[in-house]
Amino acid sequence: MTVLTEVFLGVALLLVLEGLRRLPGTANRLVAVDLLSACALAACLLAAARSGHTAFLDVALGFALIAFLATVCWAFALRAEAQQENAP
Amino acid sequence: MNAAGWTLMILGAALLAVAALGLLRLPDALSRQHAATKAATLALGVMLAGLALLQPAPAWWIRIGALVAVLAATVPIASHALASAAAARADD
Repeated sequence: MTVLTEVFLGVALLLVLEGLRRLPGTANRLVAVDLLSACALAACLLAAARSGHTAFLDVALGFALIAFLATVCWAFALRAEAQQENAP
Repeated sequence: MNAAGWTLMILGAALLAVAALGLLRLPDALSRQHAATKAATLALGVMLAGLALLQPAPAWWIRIGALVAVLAATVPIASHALASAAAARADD
């Protein structure tokens, strides 16, 4: 039964990738990338549960910080660009 | 203990799939980020709770607590930045 975790995680990954392919515009893709990083974090947690090594949790901690920085930087860059376009 | 932990892990993965479904189904970028970030936070929290039940040892609980603290501090900020970017680029 525990294989259901991998199944649901795979479904989530496929849906996110389909969203990345189909959705229009930069802001939508940024949301999809943010969700992709959440999927990667979940995969780290699953690997930790399967293998019994705490090292995967350390990886998840570092990855959470890097994903946060990337999302915030891209979001601020997008907003600055939009404000530049709107200004005359 | 084991069954409860794996139940929570499965529930968390299913919540992540629902978040991804929301990304595809919702109409614009603002509501998409609302679906994605909040549901993903809940999913990761539920998965971490399941992991804490699966591995009852202090070495795991310290790291799980640190992850919960980091997620609770960073995801709302990232969500706010995403929302302001989506609102500024409402045309695309």
